Amino acid sequence: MKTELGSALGAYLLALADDELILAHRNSEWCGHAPILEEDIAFANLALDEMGHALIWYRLLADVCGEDPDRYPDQLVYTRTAPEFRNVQLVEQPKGDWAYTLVRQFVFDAFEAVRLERLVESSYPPLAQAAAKIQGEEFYHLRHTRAWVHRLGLGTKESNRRMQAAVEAVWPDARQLIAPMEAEAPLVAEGIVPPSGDLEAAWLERVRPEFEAAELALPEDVHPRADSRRDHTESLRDLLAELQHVARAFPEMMAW
Amino acid sequence: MEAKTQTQDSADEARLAEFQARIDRGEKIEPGDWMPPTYRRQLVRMISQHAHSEIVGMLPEGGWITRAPSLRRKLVLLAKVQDEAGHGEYLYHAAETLGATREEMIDDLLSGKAKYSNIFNYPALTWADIAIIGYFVDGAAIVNQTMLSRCSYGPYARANIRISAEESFHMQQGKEMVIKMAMGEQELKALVQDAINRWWWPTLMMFGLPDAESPNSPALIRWGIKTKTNDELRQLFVTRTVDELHDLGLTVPDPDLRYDEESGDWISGPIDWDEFWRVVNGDGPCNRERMAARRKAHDDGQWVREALEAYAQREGNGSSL
Amino acid sequence: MSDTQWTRYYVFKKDTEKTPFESCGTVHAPDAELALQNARDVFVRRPNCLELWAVPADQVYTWSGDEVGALLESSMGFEDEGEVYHVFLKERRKTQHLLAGSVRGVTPEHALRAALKAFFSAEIGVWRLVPERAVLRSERSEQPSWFGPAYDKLYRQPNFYHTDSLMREIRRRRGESKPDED
Repeated sequence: MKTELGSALGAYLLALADDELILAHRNSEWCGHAPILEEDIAFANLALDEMGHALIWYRLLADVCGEDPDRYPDQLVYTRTAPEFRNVQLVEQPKGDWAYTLVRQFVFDAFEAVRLERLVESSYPPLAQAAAKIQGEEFYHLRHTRAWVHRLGLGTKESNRRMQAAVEAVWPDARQLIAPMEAEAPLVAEGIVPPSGDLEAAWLERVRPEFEAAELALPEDVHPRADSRRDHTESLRDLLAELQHVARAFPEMMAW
Repeated sequence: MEAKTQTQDSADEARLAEFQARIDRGEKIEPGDWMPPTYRRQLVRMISQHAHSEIVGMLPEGGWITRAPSLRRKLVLLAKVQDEAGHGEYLYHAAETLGATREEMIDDLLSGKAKYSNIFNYPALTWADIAIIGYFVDGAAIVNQTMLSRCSYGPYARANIRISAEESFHMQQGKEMVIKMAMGEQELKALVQDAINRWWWPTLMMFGLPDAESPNSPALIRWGIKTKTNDELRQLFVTRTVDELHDLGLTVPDPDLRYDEESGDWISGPIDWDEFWRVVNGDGPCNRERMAARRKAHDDGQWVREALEAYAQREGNGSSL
Repeated sequence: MSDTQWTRYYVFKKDTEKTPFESCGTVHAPDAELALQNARDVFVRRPNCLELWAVPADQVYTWSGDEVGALLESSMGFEDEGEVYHVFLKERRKTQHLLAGSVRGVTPEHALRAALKAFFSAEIGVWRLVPERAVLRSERSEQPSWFGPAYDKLYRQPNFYHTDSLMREIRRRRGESKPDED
C-alpha cells in the first residue's frame, strides 16, 4: 500500500479502535454496580466484546504501519497523552446514570452497524474481514440495547424522563460520528471506506423509529462541541490517568 | 406448640432414616424431596452466604479493571469479575429452590443480617493484590468448591460443578502474574511479597473455624454436604501453596511455620481468630465500603427495575421486542 | 411482584449435535425476550452451544421418582395424544437432567403417564416435563452472533495461562543452582 494511503488508513483505524476502547472502558465501570445482577453480566459482555473489537482494529493498524501487533496496541493505549487520542467525545463522557449509558450505547451500536455494513465491502480485504468478524457480535449488541431502550422509554414516567434527558445529552455529541475523518478522502476514493457523512441517513433510519416507539423525542438541529477527533475534554484526562497509571509505573507489565 | 404424637415421632424417624440411607447410597436430594428442617436451614444459610460472597467479591477486583496495566489483563479481569456475577446467579437460584426468595436474600445482605466471606472485607491496595487475590482467594475457593461439587443437594452440586469449571482460569491468571512478579525486578518482587503478607492469614481464615469450634461440621459431613473438615481443606491449601511460594523465592508471614517430614505437610502457626471475629462482626477495613457500594447500586437501580416491571405488566410478559 | 422478584425461567442448553439438551439452571427476567438474553449471558460464556431454551417456571412440571411409582401400572396402557411435551430425566445417583425424548399429552399429568410408559426405570429420580408451546428458543441461524463470541474468548480457559511451564522452568533453575550433596 502506498505510504500516503497507508498513513490515511492508519489514522482511520486508530479512530475506530480508540472509540471502542474508550467506550469499553466506560462500560466496564459498571461492573459490580449495575441496577440488577443479570444486567451486570450482560453489560460486562458488551464491554468484553468491544475491547476485543478495539484489539482487532489496533492489530490491523499495527500490520498497516509495520509494527508488532502483539506490542503496538498496548503502547498506543498506555503511553499516548490525551491530545493524541482519536475517539469521539461521546465515548469519553462519564458513564452517567443507567439511562445515559444505555442511550449512548444504543446510538453508538446503531451507527457502528451502519458503518460495518459498508466496511464489509471494503476494497482492502483485511479491513473487510475484520469488519465481518465484528459485525457478528454487533447484531447481538443491538438486539440487547434496542430491547432496553424500548423498556426504559415506555416503563414509567420516571424512566421516560431520565431517558429523555439522556437522549438530549447524548445526541449532540453523537453527531460527531458522521463528521468526516481526517484524511478519509483518499480512502473513500479507493473504495476502502465509505464517506462518514453518507452514513447519516441509514443511521437515522435505525435510530428514529426506535426512539419514537419508546416515546422519546430526538432533538433537531443540534451540533457536536468537537470540531475534530483531536479535540477532547477533561473527562479524557481523568480517564487516562486512571487507565494508564499502573502501566506507566511498571511498564514491563504492558507485555503481560 | 402441641407435643407430637408417637406416630408422628416414628414417622419422622422413619423419614430421617430413609433420608440418611439415600445419602449413603449416593443419591442426590432434589427440590421437592423430603428433607430434615435442619438440612434445609443449613443449606439456605450456606448457599446464600456463598452467593453473597460472589457478589461482594466483585468489588475489590472490579475497581481495578479500569487500571489494568495491559489490554490482555483488562480483558481477563473483566471476564473474571463477570464470572463472579454469574456464579452469584447460579447460587441465588440454588438457594431459591429451597424456598428463599431473591428479595429476602438481597434485603438480608444489605441490612447486614446475612454474612458473606470475610476475605472480601480486605482492601485491594495495589495491582499485586489482584495477582494474589486470584492465586490465593480463588485457589482456596476452588478447594472448597471442588468438594461441594459432590454435595448431596442436587442444585448446589450442579451450581458448584459449573462454578468449578469456570473458576480454574481465575486462579491461573493470578498465579501467572505472581510468578512474573516473583521473577521480575526487585521492586516487583517486593510488591508481591507485601501483598502476600497482607492476604495470607485472611485466606487461611476463609476455610472457617477450626474443627474443634465448628459444631455444624459433623452433621454436614453425615449429610453429604461436606466431605472434608475445615482443617483438612485448610491444610491441603497451605501445603500446596507454601511449596509453590518457596519455589518462587517468596515467603509466608508465619514465623511458626514448620515442615512435618512424616506427612509432607507445612504446618501453620496459630491463626488470630480475634481478628476474624472483629472483621466478621463488621469492624474490618472495608465492611462499610462494601455494603455502601452494594446499597448504592441497589438504590440507584430501583427506577430501572420498576420500569422493567411496569413494562412487563403492560405487555403481559410475552413481548418479543 | 417486587422489583427484585422477577419471573423464573428454566434454561435448557444443547451443546453439540451429539449431546442431548440438558437442564442447566434458572434465570430471572421481567419478560420473554430478556429471559432468553439473560439465559445466554448467564449460561453461555464458554463454548459450546447450538441452541438455548428458556421456559417460564410455571410451565415446567416436575415429579420425583418416588412420586411416580404409584402411577406406573395405570400408565402402561396409556395412549399418547394431545400436545408435545419434552421429557427430561435425572437418575438418582447422577447430577444432570438430560432430554430423553418427547411424548404427547392433553394435560401435564397425561404427558407424565405417556413418559412413564416410554422411559420408566427405577433409577430415575426426577421427571421434568416441558410443553413445546412454552419453549422460547434461540434461532439456529443466529448461532454465530449469539454463541460465536464465546468461542473467541480464549482467556476464559485455564490453559491460556503459562503457569505450568513457568513453574517447571523455575524449578529447573533452582535444581541447577542447588549445591551438590556430598
